Amino acid sequence: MTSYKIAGPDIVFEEFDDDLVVLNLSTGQYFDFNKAAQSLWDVLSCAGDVNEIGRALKNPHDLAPFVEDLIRYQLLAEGSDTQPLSETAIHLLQEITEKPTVDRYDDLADLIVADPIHDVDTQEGWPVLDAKTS
Amino acid sequence: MTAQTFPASDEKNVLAGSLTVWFDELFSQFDEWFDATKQSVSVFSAGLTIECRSCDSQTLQLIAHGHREIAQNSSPEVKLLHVCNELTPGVAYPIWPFAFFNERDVEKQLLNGRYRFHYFDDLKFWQILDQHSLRGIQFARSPDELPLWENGSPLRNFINWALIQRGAGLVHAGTLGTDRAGVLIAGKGGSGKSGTVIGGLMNDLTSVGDDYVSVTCGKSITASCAFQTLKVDPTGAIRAGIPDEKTQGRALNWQHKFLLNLDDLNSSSDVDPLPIIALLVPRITYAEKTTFKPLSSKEAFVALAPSGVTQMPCARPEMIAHCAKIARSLPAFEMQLGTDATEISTAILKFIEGRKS
Repeated sequence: MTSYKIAGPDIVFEEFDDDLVVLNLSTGQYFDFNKAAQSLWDVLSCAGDVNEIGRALKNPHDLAPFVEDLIRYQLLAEGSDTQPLSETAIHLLQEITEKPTVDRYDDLADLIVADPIHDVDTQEGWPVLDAKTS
Repeated sequence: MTAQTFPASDEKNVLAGSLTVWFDELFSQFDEWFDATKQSVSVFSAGLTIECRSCDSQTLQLIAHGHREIAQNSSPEVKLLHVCNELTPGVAYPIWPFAFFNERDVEKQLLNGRYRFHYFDDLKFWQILDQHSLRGIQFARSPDELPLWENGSPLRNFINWALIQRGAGLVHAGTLGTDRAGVLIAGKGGSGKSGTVIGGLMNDLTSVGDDYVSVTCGKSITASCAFQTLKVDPTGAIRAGIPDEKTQGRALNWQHKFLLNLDDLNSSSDVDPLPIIALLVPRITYAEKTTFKPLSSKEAFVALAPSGVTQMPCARPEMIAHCAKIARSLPAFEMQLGTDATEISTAILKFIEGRKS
């Protein structure tokens, strides 16, 4: 059995209407998940068994590349504690009809990762970064 | 306060990985030290009554200048002790035993615990809050060795940590308002946030803060003044029409800006807390007229959260959640800025009045 967990405390996420925004505070990147990706994230991040998840999906071939992306973005890491899927989780997965997509954004990376004291421009102050940093 | 009362903090205390044990020991003597320290300043900030005691009158003065000073309160909500090593001879100054202070490791270590803590290694400056009793200790080596940001926003970390206990928090945003309602103005550096706030203040709008404000999410969203200070660079001061006498003779701060007081511009809001009706994200467009374009709550969150979260140590999960709640609760708009400060201010006034009616 294989399962995953959220990669660490630097991964934070918030839901807005039908979107999930995930921030990786260690890389400064943020990610926009569509509804399908959000459902998969919910189940995967609760250590759901990947094989069981695949069986519940209408399009199981979407799962592996999605998980690979999340590992590459350092959002998920392999876990050791696999949990059986709940009825709610299975229902959530069966409802997925669209392809899960994750859009990655780097435009705030400097701001999120920079040290607000040492990396800022001494003339302008935060959040203008020092030329050496940016 | 005597030398013997302070624990001789050595490497072992911290290396043991048990900051909490050391903080317990430190705070077990807090009341005795606090009572023994006679010089104090009482301030009202972000809805909190705070009493700070210290032998360091220079720092107490700086704190009083940054906040609204009030008469001493017999039971302040927050008690802070500022320990200045130079003025308290013999006090064992705590030593951070590692080459660097890894903020995120420490944050993890203290997660869900009783204490919040930040250490600025360049100046060996400590801030520790016992969030259960809202008592805090700050260690500085000398009156001249405070982190630069403390001039404009003294006690910022303590205030934020205390607010978190109340389900509120500081956000990195300016405000503009009328006598009935106002807006939060948030955005990346260079987006026009500061200029918009200063321009608004010179055109009859009011504010409860230009850089950091306390925001509470209840039945409605309100913003409160956390700092009385206002920063403006010399060019911005001229552009906004700030009279020369307000800036003459004032030294520039570390950011090469004048540090003014909201009251200097007669712009301190009489309405505090200020009901907030929208979040505006300015964008410089050089358009003829200022216009407002709706943003999603997700876009509002991305504009509001990152800088505040990164500048507020030992509180990242709460700050993210707080900013998300604000972004979900408020309508948000991109404010495509015109070029004239008066026109921009008039547009904001009309925007507020239009949404309020």
